[in-house]
Amino acid sequence: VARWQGFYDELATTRYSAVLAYAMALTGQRATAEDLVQEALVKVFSSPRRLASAAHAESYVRRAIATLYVDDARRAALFDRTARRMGWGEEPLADAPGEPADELEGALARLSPQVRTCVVLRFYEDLTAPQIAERLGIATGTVKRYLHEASTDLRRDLGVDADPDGGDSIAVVSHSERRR
Amino acid sequence: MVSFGEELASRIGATQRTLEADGARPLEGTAQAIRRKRAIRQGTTAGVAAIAAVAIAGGGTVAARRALDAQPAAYYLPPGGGEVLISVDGPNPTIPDIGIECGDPAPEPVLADDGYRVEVSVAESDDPFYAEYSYFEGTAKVFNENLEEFPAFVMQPDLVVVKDGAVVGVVPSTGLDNRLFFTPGRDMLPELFGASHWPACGGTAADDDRLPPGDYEVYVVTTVANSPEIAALSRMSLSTIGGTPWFDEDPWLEPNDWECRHMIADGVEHTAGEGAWYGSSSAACLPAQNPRAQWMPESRSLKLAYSDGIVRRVFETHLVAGPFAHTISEPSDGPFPVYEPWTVPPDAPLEQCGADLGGPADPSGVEFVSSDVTVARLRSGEDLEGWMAVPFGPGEVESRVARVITAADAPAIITIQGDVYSEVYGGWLPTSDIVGTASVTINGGDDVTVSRALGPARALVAVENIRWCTEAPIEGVVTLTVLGSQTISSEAGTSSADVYVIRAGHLE
Repeated sequence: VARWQGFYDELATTRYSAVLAYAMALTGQRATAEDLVQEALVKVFSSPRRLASAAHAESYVRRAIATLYVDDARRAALFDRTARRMGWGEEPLADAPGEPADELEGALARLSPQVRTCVVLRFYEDLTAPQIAERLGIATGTVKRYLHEASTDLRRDLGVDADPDGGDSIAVVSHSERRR
Repeated sequence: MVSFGEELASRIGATQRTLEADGARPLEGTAQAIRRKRAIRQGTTAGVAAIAAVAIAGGGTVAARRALDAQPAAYYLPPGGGEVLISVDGPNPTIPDIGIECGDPAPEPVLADDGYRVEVSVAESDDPFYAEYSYFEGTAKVFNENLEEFPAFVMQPDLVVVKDGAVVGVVPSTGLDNRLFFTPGRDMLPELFGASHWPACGGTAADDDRLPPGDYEVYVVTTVANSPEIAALSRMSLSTIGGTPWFDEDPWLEPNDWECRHMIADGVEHTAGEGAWYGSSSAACLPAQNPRAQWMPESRSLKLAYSDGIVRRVFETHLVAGPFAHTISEPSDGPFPVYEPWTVPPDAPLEQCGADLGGPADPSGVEFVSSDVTVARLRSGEDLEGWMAVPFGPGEVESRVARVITAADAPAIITIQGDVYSEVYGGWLPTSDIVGTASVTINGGDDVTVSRALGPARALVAVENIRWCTEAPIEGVVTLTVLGSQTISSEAGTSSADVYVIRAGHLE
């Protein structure tokens, strides 16, 4: 068995669900996330990069997922391919399976892909704005602008407070707390 | 108030568990696409690129559609029901209070009550082991004659010891047995019990507090019960590794770590929700193990959900069987008999072909398992693929990441598992019979990094210079005992052992 194949098999068997869940946090839909993960897997495992372990490969796959998703051209192709694979025809994705389950998912779904990706990297991966900028290949100022947009939108949709320059200060507030 | 980051992590964790329960795998054609792209990069099969693209676009439709309909794993709580708050420092609600105290008169037998009935049988044996270790064991069969009442939970029995008509000691119940609850069509549950240590009233586990040798009467008190607390904990225990979540403090553990969902026992990996396991759990694992459980650090309490459908009635029924005569003997000089470690000098194993190696007295360090540890694989000369798990946690490796450094070309002894009848023990004991020697190198002499987040790390085991005791076929479970240093290094420090074991095992 080739070295990469062993790492791929390990990742596919033991870590695929984690990677796919991460991708779903970005796309909000399983079908598009599956295609996104597939694209990332192919990109990482077919590159000449020498992989040391499945964990090492996973870190690259996660990076690839985020960068592929914020790439406009790739994202359009991804949605197009997913729609064909799932037999959605020309219907808009909003009508596809996987409508937002609740307010939080709905609020995330309303963010632009770039903004949503920055939110996930900031609050799930715990990256700083400069680290996000490096990860996505965009300017730090752009990341801060995206996070500021996110805080504005999430405050509007969920009633949460946010500070894009600071730490993890977006707090989820229940309906009852908001009504008080 | 839950932070946005925590909420997001919780949701991603919940999605991951649902995907795991569904057996999610990469879309069909992914590995083939990688192979073809690698081949193209290497300039070998450029002509198949177009086929690969079709495979990516067309593959996996059935699997993906099936997955869209996936439901959460069965052990998740159904919607509805209520919540209970349970202090982890308070009494365990699954351990019954049978209302019998030291000095009380002997309990009256109650073989049937409240629609439940018990039949208790106690083992009788001439085996000297029973007498020597004051061993008392048996089975309590509990029958549910409330045909409409389920589930109802059966607890491990209390054993009440009586002398001269008064209670002089109680071996307390260990509480809820997660396997045992009545369901439709399951109206009898057998609960096994056994004890060899007999604490006196007010005593502890120390030898001085044991009941003195003599003849006693034992009553077996089996409790059938239900309550929101028991229901919530029973469901919780089915989704955790550690049974009911009575915690170890483990500040280095994080919610989605491998340990929150897996454990290795006897070389086999076990996954949360696939069986009841009794050990420790951690508050840190709760969000990953059950999204409807909350750890309240200020009050050191658990907020757990339960389903209305599980608690039809709150009750606690105690069924009392006995008395059963039992003799407590003089305490044995030692613990239960076990075979001696290193019964053979480890430096001369081939002179001792067929003898029982025993084992290292303290097999500390990594748990190293490999499904490749077989005679056939060793004879093939191929490297073995193994998995290293580091014992992380309080009192162990207090870190999130550790490096395992092993000596290269370390001598190793190959054994197969056998057994031998022990007159002392009164039964069969396992042996490690020497069948050969070898030298072992892990990962070409490089370190292996193990993280709590990802769990056991893959390692290649080169087994060379093998000398077999016999060329004849050998059958049995193989173990490699490596007589070489193994060092675990982390930010918390370094620990070393002179011996480690690679055992035949299986990780999912």
